[in-house]
Amino acid sequence: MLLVKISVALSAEARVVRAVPTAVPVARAGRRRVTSRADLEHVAFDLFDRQGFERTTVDDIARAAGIGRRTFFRYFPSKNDVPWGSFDAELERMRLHLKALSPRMPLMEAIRVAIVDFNTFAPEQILLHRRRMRLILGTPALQAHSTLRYAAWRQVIAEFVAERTAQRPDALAPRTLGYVALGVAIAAYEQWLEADDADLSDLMDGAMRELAAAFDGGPA
Amino acid sequence: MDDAGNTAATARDLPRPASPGRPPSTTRHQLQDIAVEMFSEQGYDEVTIEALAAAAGISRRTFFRYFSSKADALMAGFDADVERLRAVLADTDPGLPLMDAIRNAVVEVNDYHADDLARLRQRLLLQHSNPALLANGILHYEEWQAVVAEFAARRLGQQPRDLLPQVIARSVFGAAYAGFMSWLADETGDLSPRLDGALGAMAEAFQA
Repeated sequence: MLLVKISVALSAEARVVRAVPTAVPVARAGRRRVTSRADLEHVAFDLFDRQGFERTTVDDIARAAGIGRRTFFRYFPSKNDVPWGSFDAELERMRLHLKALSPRMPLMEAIRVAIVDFNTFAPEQILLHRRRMRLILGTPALQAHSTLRYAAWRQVIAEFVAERTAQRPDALAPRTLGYVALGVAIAAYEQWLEADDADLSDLMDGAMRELAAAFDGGPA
Repeated sequence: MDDAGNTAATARDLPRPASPGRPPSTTRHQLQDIAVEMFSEQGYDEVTIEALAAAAGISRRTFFRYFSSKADALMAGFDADVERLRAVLADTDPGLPLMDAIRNAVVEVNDYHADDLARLRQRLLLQHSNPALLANGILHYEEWQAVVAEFAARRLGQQPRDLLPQVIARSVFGAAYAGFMSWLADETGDLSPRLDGALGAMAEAFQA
């Protein structure tokens, strides 16, 4: 499988649809218009599969979805943002989750718990999330855009570590643990995408636990 | 029409990078130095492979014996480091714990001399200033991670594609990359303590 592997990655949304407009304009005649962000994603992913990510325009997606260009932009700021779902909202949720964890929970355990939660999806959302991650990890044209998303994800981890250890987020240890956590998540994602029956949150959990065990002198 | 006759001989006669110790100055490294200079002065997009080859006194065809693309000319040093990493890991004392062995090898391979550090900094800054160079670099980073995954798999009695070897490779790469970025963000300083510090911070966090 050709995966474009950035220095590391993570996941996106699924359950959150808060930012989605509730009133969708009337579709043009003869087209089945989409009425949710998830539907719009599916329509876009179908086009990406058929004609390639780079050759698909926002106009193509809007036309296939039976919506106007302006409506598309109410769901997503750009074509590059489509595979990322409501990533920003999910990231904010992870930030709050980390903050709510007991200060007595060991640092890497807290990060493990937060990463597993971040990557836990309802069964009906799994298919969409697989399509997202295949695109994100396998589309060269998305790389530059994804780099910014990875950086935002790492920053949440780094700020949590910084807070816990009374350092600045750009100090060596917080910065390093942001990269480390993302590396673990990417490795788990690659395994998940290669096995249709694998469970993503189990893989995330196992990845963090096995790495911790490797530092204790033996595999889990 | 072309100079295949003499360049074939030249390419074949090139010294191969030695295993331990910094690799000797090879043609790949000389081409890299020329590329860094020309990309820095004229901008990566402005420099053609013809111009690069001409500055090195070789033909375009010969250039392609050393590198498969213009962007690859910047990766000669990194590619050599990957081979050194493979060799250092292969020579590791089997009694040394896995994660310690990897940490030591990564730090040893990146033990640059002061002169080389300045050039490394220039190369990395150049790479990070251009999306095409950065994207190409990421492809080369895959090989580094593959070397770590193979070593970890051997030690663990697993396959390199299995979860733990992959997790180790990607996370250790992440830590090393953080060390490089931290070093790059400061104007001066030594790389080795930063790299060892990053890998140490990772070990400490997991052992806490």
